[in-house]
This record gives sequence, C-alpha cells and structure tokens, in this order.
Amino acid sequence: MENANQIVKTMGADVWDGDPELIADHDLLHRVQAFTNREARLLDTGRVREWLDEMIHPDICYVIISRQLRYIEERRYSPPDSVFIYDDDHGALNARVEQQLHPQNWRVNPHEAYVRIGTNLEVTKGSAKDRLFVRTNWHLRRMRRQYEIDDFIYSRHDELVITPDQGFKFVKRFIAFPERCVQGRNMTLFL
Amino acid sequence: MDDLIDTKRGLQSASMFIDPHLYEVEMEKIFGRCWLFLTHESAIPNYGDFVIAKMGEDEVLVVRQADGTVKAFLNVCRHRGARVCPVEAGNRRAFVCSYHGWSYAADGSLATVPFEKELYGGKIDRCAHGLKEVAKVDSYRGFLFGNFDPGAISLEDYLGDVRWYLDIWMEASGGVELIGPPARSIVHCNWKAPTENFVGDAYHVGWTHASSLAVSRSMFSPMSGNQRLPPAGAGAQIATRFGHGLGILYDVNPGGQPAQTAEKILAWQATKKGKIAEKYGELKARFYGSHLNGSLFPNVSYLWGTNTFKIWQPRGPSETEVWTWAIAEKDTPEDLKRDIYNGVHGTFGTAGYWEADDNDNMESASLLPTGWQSRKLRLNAQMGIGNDTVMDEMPGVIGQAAIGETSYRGYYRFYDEILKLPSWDAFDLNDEGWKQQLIDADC
Repeated sequence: MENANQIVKTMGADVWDGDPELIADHDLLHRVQAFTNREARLLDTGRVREWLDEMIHPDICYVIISRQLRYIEERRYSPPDSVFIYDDDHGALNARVEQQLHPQNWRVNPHEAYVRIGTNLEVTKGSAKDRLFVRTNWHLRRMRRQYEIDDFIYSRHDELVITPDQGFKFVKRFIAFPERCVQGRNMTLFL
Repeated sequence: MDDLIDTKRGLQSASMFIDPHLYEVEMEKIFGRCWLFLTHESAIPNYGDFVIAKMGEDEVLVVRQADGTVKAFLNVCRHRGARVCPVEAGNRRAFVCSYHGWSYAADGSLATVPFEKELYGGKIDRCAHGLKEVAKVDSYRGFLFGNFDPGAISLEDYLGDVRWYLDIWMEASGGVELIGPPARSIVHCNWKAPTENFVGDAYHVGWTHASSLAVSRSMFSPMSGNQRLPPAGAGAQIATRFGHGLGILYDVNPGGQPAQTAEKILAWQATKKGKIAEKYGELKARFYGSHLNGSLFPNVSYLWGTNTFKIWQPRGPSETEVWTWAIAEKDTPEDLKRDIYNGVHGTFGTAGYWEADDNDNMESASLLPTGWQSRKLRLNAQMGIGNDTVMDEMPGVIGQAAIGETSYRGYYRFYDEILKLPSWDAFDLNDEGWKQQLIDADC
C-alpha cells in the first residue's frame, strides 16, 4: 500500500500544504457553507440515502487513513506508513448505506444519535475549472445506547464538483484521522 | 478460581470477564508464560528495523539484530522507567530515552549515559542496566512470537497440533504476508470476549451479522438473518492442546469477501489448488479453499478466507485494543491484493461493518457482569457437547458440525489449566488426557 504523502497528493489534499489563494466570493462561500451544513444535517438525522443520492458524486473517492507513528527524520525504514480505514467508491458507500438502513442492523436499533459541528471553512480552486477544494474542521459526537459517547475530531479535505445548476457534489473526501488508536470503538459512520 | 471453568459441562463463570483480581492473575500466569504474537518477519527485514508490540500490557521493542536474529525488549528506560521509543516502527542503531538521554544499542545494551563520569563517578553498572530482554523470541512461518518465561516450552511445541491447520495457509499457500501497518482501535470489552468468538463461533454469524451479510452479497450471505443453516457435513470445529482452536466451513474460502473480490480469489486459488493437492494431499488442498476462523491462545485471531489477522491487546479487564492486519498470499497479484485489503478493512477494520456488529455483543457480555447477580451466572458453551471425537486424518479434538462450540470448550479447558499450572516444569507435553476431558464432557 502507499505512504501517507502519496495518498495526500492523489487526493489533492496537498493543496493545503501551502497557502493557496482562497476564494473570497461571498455568494460562493455561502453556497458551499450551506452545502456542507446540509450534509451534516442529513447525516445527523439518519437521512443517509438522500445524502448518498443527492450529495455524493458517482465518481466519489472517499478515503480515511490512519498513519503509523514514525520518527520525523526516518529515512531507512520504508514500508507503507498508512492504513486505509476507508477507501470507498460509490458502490462501497452504497453498501454501507444499505447496511445502516437494513431492518436487521441491530446496532442502530435503538437509533444512534449524532451531532456534527463544522468550522474553519476555507475554499480554493479545485483540480479542474468546475471543481473546488474545501477544507473544514469537525467534531462529530456519536451517542448510543444508555452510556456510549464516542468523539471524532478531524480535519476534512473535500473536493466538490460544481453541477450545471450551480449546486455541488462531493467527489473526493480525504481525512488523515489524527488519533492513531481510534478511541471511539469503530468508525461505521460517515465523517 | 476453582469454579471458574467447568470443562466437564462446558460452562464458564461470567465473572471471568470482569474480575480485576483474575485479570492480574491472567497477566502473570497467561501473558507472563504463553507465547505472544509480536510481528511478522517482513515488517523488520533489515538490521536496526524495529516495531513496537504489546505483550499483555507491556510494551516491547522488537528489533532485527546485526546477525539477522530478532530480539525483543521492554520499551522502558532502566533509569527512571520512561518510554524509550515513542514511535511504532522504524530503523535505528540506537534508542535514546527522551527523559535524561540514556541511550541503548540495537542489542539492548546501555550505550551512553549523559555526563556519566561527572555525575555517576563511574559507579553505574552498565551491564545491569541494558533494556530488559524478553526471554524467548521465535518465529513460525514468518510470524514472530515472544515469551517472558525462560522456562516455557518451545513455540513449536506450544502451537502443537494447530500447526497442521496453520500450515495450510501459512505454508501450503506458498506463504503469506501481513499487510500493515495495523489498524488500531479501542473496544470496551474483556480481551477474551472477541478471542473466544473467533475461536469457534459460527453460530452468531447469521444473526449478529444479518445486515452485513445481506448487503455484502458474499458466499456467506445466504445465512443472513438465520434463514439457512449450513448443510450437514459443511464444516467442523477443532480444539487443540493449548487452547488454540478453529472452525472450518468447507469450500467457501472467500466467505466474507464481497462477491466481486470473492470471484477473483476463487479464480486465483484454482490456479494453485492442483499443486497444493499434489504436494500436501487432497485434504489440505480442500482446507486451503475453505474458510477458517480461529484463535491462537491467548489473544490472536485470524480468518483465512476473509483474510483478517487480529490481536486483542488487554488494557485492563474491561478494555481491549484491537490491531488488525490483512493477510495475503505472497504471490497474489497486486490488484487482487488491494481488493483483499479493502475487503478486510471494509469488514473487520476500524470502519468495518462486521467489526461494529460484533462490538456490542462483546462489550455487553464483558460489562454486564459488573452486576453482582449477573457475575454469578454461568456462560454456556455446550453446543455439540458429547459428540466431540478424534479422527485419524485431522489432529486435535473434532466437533463434526459447521456450527458448534467444541473450540470454545478447548480454549477454556486450557485457560483453566494454565491458570492452575505452577510452572512449565510441571507440564507434561505427552499427556493426552486433555482429549478425553473434552470427549467425555457432557451437559
């Protein structure tokens, strides 16, 4: 498998390594913000089918990695340093949605509750004329059963396709999950 | 301790998942004396390559030596006990503690002490202050294990009969690799809860994983929602001397992999099966194309077919850290290897939906015995009891059903034995009485 640096590049997230020229068009920024807010609302309220069908591009590349801890100056040890927690295309995401909605998915009965808090929105030009790179920070809390509370805090690197009606679809999502050992039990939820 | 495990009737005390005193005894008697998985040889091919592993709650540094051997050391500075190495893997000729700067060579010896002459006046005994070495390290088919007990039996003896089954995927396949680094996550359960599940619980698959089976369109999907039992003769359960056990579902190797990947795996395996049959016999060739779920005592689990390799690292009686790798045959084409890898992490990785299905069962079974009354209950592993037997062609004690609890009983039979064993010196390798214990068991 690959190293984290290669994956970041493949996903276009290396655009945020420097200081890209940020888009200052308030109308566009407002529309992007509204789009990400809607996504959070759909996912918080269990509307995963609408999320996938209406907000996710058929060519979606949905990647979450966990990076093995190594010395910064490491040069001699070269095995891959990353685990793909998610490496999903549309079909794989669809299977996850189907599983979430399946009547015999015992995990989500009773319902799990989620709250997503997003902030630090930045937008710059994407990899093509009709695309935008969007960087955001998130705190996602999952609450389930009587006592379980799991927190996920992360930076998210998305690429959006601008649709002909001036709407958007997510075509890439990349998260380098910052906890090496995931404290929140499992990640069967959409970050 | 005496009434913890009832091997004769296939029962266990629920308190074994929660008792803090028992947990301490387990650390001493089990994790202090059994062979524990460290890493795969391929993760540390060169001199100075190292990984951090866990042996019980002890963190160890596993290092490839200049002569090609492997040593393991507690990752603890001999000065004030701070962590020597803060990363998980790399290559180093020396390890320097970040507290006061004591440094250790790759062979664990104390190399330098800052201002040694000025501050210690030459009084420090360097020989007595090397990193504490793990008494034994050995490798089986590329899988490295360590043992804290210098008096322990050899790794080969410890694996015993289960080697016959491990060799199917570790050797006859042409050899395997673990694709790392591992995924890591925390589950709030006792370390035995997932290990016992993997050792032989085919019973839960159709029900716990009903939704995952339904959407994965895998070879196991017809079991979704307990719609169908595997037919008679579809599999077996195996228990061995040291608690290692497994379950087999015949001829459905890529059982949990999604349909597309499963097809590719079947086509790939078809190219190898003939040669395996020629060299290792028809039975092993059949097992190569079968799905195996198993655990190696105390805390390693694997799924041959769903290509998953896991360690359940104890972190107190009620918390376990899960490490997950994908297993791939070394000669698998790269594109198929990637599909297999994605299949593993999509099912049994941190975001795997099969993994999440299991979490609730393991957590509740582990945590509910905090209740004073609940901990007094006996847990039942009696399925198939009274029907266990021995067979000429397969080592171990065999339960001749795809779904049964023979390997649960075998796992806890040894758990009970090792807890009560005064030392390895008192252990009789040639005693076959353990088989009769399992065969004679009855409700």
